[in-house]
Amino acid sequence: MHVHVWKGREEKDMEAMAKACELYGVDKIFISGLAGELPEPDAIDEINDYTLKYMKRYPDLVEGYCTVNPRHEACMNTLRRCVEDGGMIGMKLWIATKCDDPLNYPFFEKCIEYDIPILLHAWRKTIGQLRYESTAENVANIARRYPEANFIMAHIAGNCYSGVKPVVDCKNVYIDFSGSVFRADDIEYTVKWVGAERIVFGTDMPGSYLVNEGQVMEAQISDEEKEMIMWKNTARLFYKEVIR
Amino acid sequence: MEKYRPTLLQGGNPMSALDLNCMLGRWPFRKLRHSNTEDLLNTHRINRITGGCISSLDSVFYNDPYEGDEDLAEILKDMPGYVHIQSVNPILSFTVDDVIKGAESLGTKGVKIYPCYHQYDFDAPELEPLFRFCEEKDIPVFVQLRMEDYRADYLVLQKQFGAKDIQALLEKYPNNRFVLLTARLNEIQALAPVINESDKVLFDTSGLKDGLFSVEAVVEKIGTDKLAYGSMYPLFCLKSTLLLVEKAQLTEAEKKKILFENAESFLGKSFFGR
Repeated sequence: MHVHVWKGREEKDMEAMAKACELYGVDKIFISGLAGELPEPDAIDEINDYTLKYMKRYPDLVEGYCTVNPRHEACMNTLRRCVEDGGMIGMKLWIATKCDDPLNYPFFEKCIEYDIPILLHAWRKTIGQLRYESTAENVANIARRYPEANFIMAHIAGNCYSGVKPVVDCKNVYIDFSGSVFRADDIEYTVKWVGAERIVFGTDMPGSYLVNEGQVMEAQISDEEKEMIMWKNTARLFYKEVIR
Repeated sequence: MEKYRPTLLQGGNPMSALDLNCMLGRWPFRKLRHSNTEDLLNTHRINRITGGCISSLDSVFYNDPYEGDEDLAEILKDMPGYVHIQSVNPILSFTVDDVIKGAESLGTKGVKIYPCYHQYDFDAPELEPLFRFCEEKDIPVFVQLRMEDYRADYLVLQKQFGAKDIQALLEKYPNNRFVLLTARLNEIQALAPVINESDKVLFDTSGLKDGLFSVEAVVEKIGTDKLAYGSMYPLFCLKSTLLLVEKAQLTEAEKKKILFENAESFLGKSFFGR
């Protein structure tokens, strides 16, 4: 539920991901396009158009998030177009604003109206923290402001030991462990604090894939918990399906 | 909903492997849930790993690293197939004496350095006596380029190294045998011309986390002879590093080389007691 195409290398990314999905047995990927730290509206439109294109090219494989830069009001039209006309089923916020910035509020309120999940990039870095990069504390702030919204905190906020506890009580925050930090204990630690019910399987493809799958395979949790993480929670969150 | 069911939750490694880069001990920055001897052996057994090179995590942080290796030597008495790699800090003046003592008393067969935590450069003069001694005795030097992801460092920041630093090391000490651990894909790609000219360098796979098809990308640049499986267990998820090789679009013969033949041919079959 967390993969990307990057502006300027969209076809290369999509081709690699399609190949990986076939080789590794992936049935669904949820794409968001990324176009730089503070993308202009035309860049946002362009990258979302690529996502729409891949949704059409691979209708059984690809779902789409609409990427927005809330610094631009025009992105509200982009969101409407991508969800209402294009059939995207989520919204993505990256690093143009911290996720609890009031600039985001109208976008979150629109997502609540659409009843679609919101994928929030989050990462606390010891070195190299970006200017508007959210941390788990920012995620907790916004989750408390909008309890009726469903948020996904990406990358376990970079480090499960600082990222999980701030959102433990925010039941509307799901957690993905996408990305290339693949420590042996991350899954078990996260399950311990929030339960498997709130963990979803993301990878950050084309940035990584197998390391994330290996984490689930090796985690000493039950098979049922692994199934929840690998697909059941995502199906429930995005498709509102009741999974037995 | 059956169509969303992943296909890879079952199954194991179809061929056996050696693990060039695993450790036992404690880690000061977080609780390790599966770090004792039984955990390591179980995880290796499940994944058909039959042996490898083990070093002491404790020694990385001890004032006297030798004390961690004494403890590890006791454990390894009951672990046939595993080779003891001695952890040293070459900044300490008694390092060569410790290496001599380790080989004689503890049965160590290689040395491992941690410039990332011991905070020296590869051109530090203190390294020369150790590397000269290892060259004379043909002792392989394992270089742990990094341990956990820098971005998740806690309390102590690792010193960072890149391709230029590794190149300088290989050029300054062309006669030493180096096993370079946890190098990144972009570093190996950048170093390809140097690596392809040397028969004294082996990389492990534990740092190839970035991008799809990273093992394939390394093989494209340097071939299959200078890459060997290493896990960084218990810090990294072993299954993750193993999948990178298992699922690579390589022939079975190429995977076999990476999983154990290259380690044996670089270090010698007798190194692993075979």
